[in-house]
Amino acid sequence: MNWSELLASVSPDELLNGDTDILDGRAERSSLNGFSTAAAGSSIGDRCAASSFGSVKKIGLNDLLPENVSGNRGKSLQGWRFELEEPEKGTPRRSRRSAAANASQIRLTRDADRLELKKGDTVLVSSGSGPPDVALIRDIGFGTDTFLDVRVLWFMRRSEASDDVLPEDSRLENDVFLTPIVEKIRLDDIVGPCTVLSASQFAAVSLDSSNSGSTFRCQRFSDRDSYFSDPVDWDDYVSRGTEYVYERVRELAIPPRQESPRKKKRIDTPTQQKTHKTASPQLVVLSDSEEIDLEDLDSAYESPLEDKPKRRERKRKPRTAQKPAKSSSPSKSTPRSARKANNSVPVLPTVIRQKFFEDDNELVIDDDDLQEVVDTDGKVVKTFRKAKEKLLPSAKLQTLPCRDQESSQLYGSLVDAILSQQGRCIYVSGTPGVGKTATIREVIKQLFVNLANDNDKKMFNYLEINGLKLMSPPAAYEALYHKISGENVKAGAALDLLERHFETRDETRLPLVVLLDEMDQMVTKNQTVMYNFFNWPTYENSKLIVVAVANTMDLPERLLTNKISSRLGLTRIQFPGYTYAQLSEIIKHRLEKIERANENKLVISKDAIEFASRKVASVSGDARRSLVFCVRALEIAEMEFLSKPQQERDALHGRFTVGIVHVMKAVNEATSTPLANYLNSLSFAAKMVLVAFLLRRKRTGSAELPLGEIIDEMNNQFGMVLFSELKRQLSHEQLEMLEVLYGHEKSRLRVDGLGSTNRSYFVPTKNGMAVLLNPLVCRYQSLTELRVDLRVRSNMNSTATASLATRGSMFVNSASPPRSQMENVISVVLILMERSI
Amino acid sequence: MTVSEPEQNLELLRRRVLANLSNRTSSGLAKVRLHNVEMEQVQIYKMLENTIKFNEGKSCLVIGPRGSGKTTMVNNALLDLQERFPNMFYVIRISGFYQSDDKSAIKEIARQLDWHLLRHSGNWNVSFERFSANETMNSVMSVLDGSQLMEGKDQNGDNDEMQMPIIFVIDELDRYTNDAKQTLLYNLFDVAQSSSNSHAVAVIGLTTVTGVREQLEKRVKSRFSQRVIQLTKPRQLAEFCDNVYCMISVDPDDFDPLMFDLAQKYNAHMKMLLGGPSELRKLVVHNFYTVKDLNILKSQLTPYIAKMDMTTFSGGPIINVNTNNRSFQILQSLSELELKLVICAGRQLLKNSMDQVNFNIAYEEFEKISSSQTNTLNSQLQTMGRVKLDSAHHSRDLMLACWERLIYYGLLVEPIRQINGINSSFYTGGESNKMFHLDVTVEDVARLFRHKDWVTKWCRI
Repeated sequence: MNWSELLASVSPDELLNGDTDILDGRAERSSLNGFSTAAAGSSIGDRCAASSFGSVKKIGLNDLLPENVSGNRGKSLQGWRFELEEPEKGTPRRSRRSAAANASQIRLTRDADRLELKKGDTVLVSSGSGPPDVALIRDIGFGTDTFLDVRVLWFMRRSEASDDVLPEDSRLENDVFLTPIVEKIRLDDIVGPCTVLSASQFAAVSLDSSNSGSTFRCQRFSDRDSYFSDPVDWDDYVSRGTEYVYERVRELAIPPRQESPRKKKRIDTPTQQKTHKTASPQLVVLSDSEEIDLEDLDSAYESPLEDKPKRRERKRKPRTAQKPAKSSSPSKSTPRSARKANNSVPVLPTVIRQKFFEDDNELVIDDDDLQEVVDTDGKVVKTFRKAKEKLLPSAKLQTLPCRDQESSQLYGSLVDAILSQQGRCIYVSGTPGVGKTATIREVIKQLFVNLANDNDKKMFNYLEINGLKLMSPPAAYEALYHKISGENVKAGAALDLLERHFETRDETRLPLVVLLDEMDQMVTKNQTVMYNFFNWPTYENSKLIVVAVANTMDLPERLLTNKISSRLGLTRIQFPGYTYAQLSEIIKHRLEKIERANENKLVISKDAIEFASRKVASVSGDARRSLVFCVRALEIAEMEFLSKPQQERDALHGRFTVGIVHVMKAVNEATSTPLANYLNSLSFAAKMVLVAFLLRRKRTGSAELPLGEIIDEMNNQFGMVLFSELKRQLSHEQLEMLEVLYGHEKSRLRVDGLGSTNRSYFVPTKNGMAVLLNPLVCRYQSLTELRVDLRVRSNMNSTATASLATRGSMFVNSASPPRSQMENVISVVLILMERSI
Repeated sequence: MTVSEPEQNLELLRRRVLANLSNRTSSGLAKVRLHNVEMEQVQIYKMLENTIKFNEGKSCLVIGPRGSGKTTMVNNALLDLQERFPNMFYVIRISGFYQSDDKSAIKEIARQLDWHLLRHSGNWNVSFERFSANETMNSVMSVLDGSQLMEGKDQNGDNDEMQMPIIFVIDELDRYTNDAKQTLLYNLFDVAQSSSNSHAVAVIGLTTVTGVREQLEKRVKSRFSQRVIQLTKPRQLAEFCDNVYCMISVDPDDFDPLMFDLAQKYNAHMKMLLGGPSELRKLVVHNFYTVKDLNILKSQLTPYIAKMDMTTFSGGPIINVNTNNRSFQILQSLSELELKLVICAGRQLLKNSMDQVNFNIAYEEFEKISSSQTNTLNSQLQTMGRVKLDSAHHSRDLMLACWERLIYYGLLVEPIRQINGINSSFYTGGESNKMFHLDVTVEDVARLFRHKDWVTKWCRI
C-alpha cells in the first residue's frame, strides 16, 4: 500500500480537518531539515513527506505541533509498515468519529520478520529485564503525540503474583491473568508474537522448549494486585473481539461490590502506580522513549462515559507524530519537582472519603449505635444528615437569596471598571454574617463566566486578601506582589516594586480585582498600607480595582485620615442586617431541595424556621447564627428521634418534624450563660466569700474592696448566721463548722501569703466579672482556687470600666454598678446557697 | 479485715492506685477514668466523628473550673476516635500558657503539621514552618482554608478526595482573647465553619473562664458554632464522693484473674471508707465544703495510699495541707534581731497607717525602741546602784543583713505593679530605701510569742 492509496482511502474533508496537524508537522520539519525527510529512513515517512508537501500550502495550516515532536517522529516506526484496512464500501467517512472507528483497523507489519500485528493479537513486550511481558493489543490508532498508538491490555504473569493469593488451579508457570490496565507501548519494544489459550486448548498443546516461552494459559482476570476473578472462558472472549474483552475484564477484575466502586478506584490508584513503576521505569531508562500514557492508565478504571470524550479528543488530531514528547520529560520533571520541594506549600495527605451514605438509596450502616436503626430509620438519619449539610454555613450554594440589590450594584460597578480598564475603589460594609464576602465571591464567579465568554480568555485577575489572615498589615504587599509577579519578596521591597508596577504603562496588563476583607484590621498607625491600596487605583495605568470590606459603615471617616477617605471614593455599598423574613427565606432556600427529595420525611416546621430567624433578626441579623441554630435544632431532634423506643420510631414511618421546641432548645443553649450553673457548683466557702464581698460592697458602696475587709465580713457572717443546716450536716460527719472553715488553730479566718490582706482588691472587670487582685503571685493552691472561683459576673457591663486583671496587677475602676443590680445578684446568690447547703 | 495475698500483688495494686492519683492526666496517652461526664464526652465524640466522617466543621467550647476534667475528657474522646479511625485525622494541640501569643501559636501549628507530615510521608523536603511569620501563616492557611475563591480553580469540583481532617485542641483559650485582633481564633473558627468537602477542621477550646463567649470579638463570635459544653464541680456531697471513689478505686478487669478478688475487695473497702465515718471521709467532706478541689485531694491522698498497709487496707497518715501558718513558722525560726526588725516594721506600719515600709524607717524605729529600753533599764539600775549599762549597739550593716534575710524568707515582699502586663515598678534608689510589704502584723507576732516577755513589750505601742 502506498501513499496515494492511503490518500484515496481518506476523504477530502478528513484531510482538511483531522490531518492538518500531521501535514503541517511534516512541512515544518521539511523546512527545517531542508527536505531531508529521509532521516527517519522509514518508507512511510519518505512517502508521506514527499507526497504531502504539495498539499500543505493549499490547506494553509497553522503550527500546532511542537518542534521536538516532529523532529523525533519516525524513529519509533522504523522498521515497521502499516496498512489501513479498507472500510466497508458505501459508508462515506465524513466525521472524525468514523475515522476514529476505522483507524483501529490498522494492521502493522514488521519489516524484519514479517510479523503482523492487529487488534486482538497477543504479543510479548520487552520489559527491560526479566522475561518479556505479555500483552493483548486493544487497538492500534493514530495517536496525538505518536504517529501510531498501540494500546495494550497487560497480562499479569504468574511469577508476578505471590503464591498465597493465587487461586489453586492457576499456578502453572505459563499461567497469565488479564488485567484491566491499559497502556500504550512502543513498537520497538515488541519482541514477538505469542499465543494465549484457554484452559482446554492449553491442555491440548504440548509444551516444549520452542513454544514454552510464547504459549500461555489464561483462566482468570486479575486487578494486578491480589484479586483474581473466577475462571473465565478465554475462547469465548477472544471470539467476541477486544472491546468486549476490555469491558468484561474491567468488570470482572474488580473485587465484588462490597465497597463502592468509587472508593475502590481510590484505593487502587497507588497499587496501580506501584505495579506500573516496577514494570516501566527501567523501560524508560533503557529505551528512552517508552510511551506511558498515564492518562490512559487512570482512565482504565473510569466509566466508559468518561472514557469516550477523551478518545474523541484524541482523534481530533490524528496521524500526528510518532515520537512522544516523553523522552525529554524525565529530565524536565526532575528539576521541577526539586524546585517545588523548596518553594511550594506542602500538601496534606488525603484520606479516602468514607461514603457512609451512598448517593443512591442504599445505606451503609457503619455505626454501632445506628446498627439497630435499619431501613426507614436509616433513611431518616440520612435525611437529617443531608439537611444538616445544607444548613451548615459552609454549604455550597448556587445562588444567594435576598442580596439581589447589593450584588447587582456590585456587579455593575465591577463590570464598568473592568471594561473601562480603570482603577476603582469600592467600599462594602455590614455587620458580621450578612453575606458580604459570599456575595462578592458570587459576583466574581459570575464575572469570570460572563466576561470570559467574549474571547475565551479571562478579562481580569482576582486576589483575596484578608486582614485577619495576615500576621501584619504590610504582608498584604507581599501577597499582592506575589499575585502580580509570582515572586516572593519581603514587604518593603514589594512596596517599591508594586509602586513601579502600577506606574508603568502596560497595555497587555489585565485589570486586577483585589478583595480586601476585614479591612479595618489592616489599618496601621500611620495608615500607609491603606493609603497605598487606595492610592494605586488612582494611577492612570494601574488597572487596580479594590473592593474593601469592613464592618462599620463610617469606617473611612472614623478611622482613616482624610487623604485616605477621599481616595476611597463614593462607591459604597451597605449590607444591612437580614430581616427575619429574609433569614427564613435563606433557610427555606437551603432546605428546598431536600424536602422535595426526601418526600417530606423530614420536615422542619415553618414555625421553627420563623422562630429561629426572628430570634436572630432581633439581635444581629447574622445569617450564620440562624443557620447554626437550625443545625443545632436538627441535632437535638436527631438525638430525640434516636432515643425513642423502636415501636415509636416504627410508628413514625420514618417521618419526623423538627418543631419550635427543638429550635427553642438550641437557642437557649447558645444564649444562656453557664453562670448560674457555675455559681451553683461552687463550694460553700467560695459562695461565702462571694456573699461577703457583695454584702460588704453594698454597705460601703465602693466598687473595690480590700480582701481583708471581705475576710472580716466573712468572719462576721460566721458569727452571726446560724447555718444550722450546714452544721447539722457537718456534725453528721463528726466535723465542726468552724474547724472546717478556720482550720485547726481555730483562730479567726485570715488569709496568709497575700502580702498584706489590705492590699488585695476585688474589682469588677470589663466583662462584668469580679476579680481578686492581689499584689503577689499567689503562693497557695487554695487561694488560686479562690481567685478563679470568684470571677463571678454581676451584670455590670455598662458601668464598670475597670480593665482586665493580670495576676498581681492593680487597676482602679471608675464606676460602680447600680445598686439594684447588685442586690439582685446578692439575693440570687443567697437563694442558691440556701438551696444547696 | 485482712487479706492474704502475695506481696507483689499488693504492690501492683498500690502502684495502680498511685498511678491514678499521680495527676498525669493531660498527656493524652492513656485513658483516665472520669466520673459523670459520659454525656459530655459522647457529645464531643459525636462532633468529632462527624468531622471525620462527613467533613462537618464545628467549633466548640468546653468550660469548667480547674480540675474538672476538661482536658482529660477531650483526651479520652480523642483516644476513642483514634481507635476507631486510626490515622484518619490529625490532632494539633496548642495551649495558651505555652504559646502565649498568636504568632507563636501559628508557629507551633506549623511545627506540629510538619511533624504529622513527616510521620506520614517521611518527606523532609517540605515544611510549613518558614523563616518569617507571614510565610508560616500563609502556608498553614493554604492547607486549612478551602473557602477562598481562587482563579482557575473549579469550586464545585466534587471529588472524593479529602484532606486529612484536623482537630485543634486549644487549652486556655481565654489567653487568646486578650489580643484585640484575635487573629488565631478568627482563623481557626473561620476554617472550621467553612469546612467543605475537601477541608475539614474541628476546633475545641478549653477554658476556665465562664464568660469567655462574651470576650470573643464580634467577627469571631459570628464564626463560632455557638456550641458550649460546661463541666461543673459536683453539687452534692454524694456525687463528690463518687468522684473520689472513681479516683481511688481500680478497675478489677484490668488485673489478671488471680488478682480480681483482691481488686474487688479493695474497691469494696474504699467504698465503705468513703461511705461511713472515717478519716478519709472527713478529709473528703472538709475538702467539699471549703475548696472542692479534686487535685488537692489527690495530693493529700497520695501519702495515704503510699503508706497504706495493704494487708489490712488501713491507710497511712493524712497530710493536712494547711496553708495558714507558713509565715508563723518562719517567724518562730527567726533570730532575735530579725524578729525585732519585723516588729519595728510592723509598728511603723500600724502607727503611720502606711502600706509599705523600708529599711530606714524600720531601723529608725528599732533604734528608738532599743535606746529607750536601755534608758529605762539604766534608770532602774541607777536607782538601785551605780551601775551603768552600755546600750547594746547593733551596727546598721548588721541590721541591713537581717533585713535582707527577711526578704529572702519572704516575710517582706516586694510589691508588683503592672500596667497592661508590663512590670511598671522601676526602682533606682538604694537598697535601704526600697519599699516592702510586710506579710505579718504586729498582733500576729504578739499572739504567737505571747510567752516571751520582751516580745510583748516590744509589741506594745
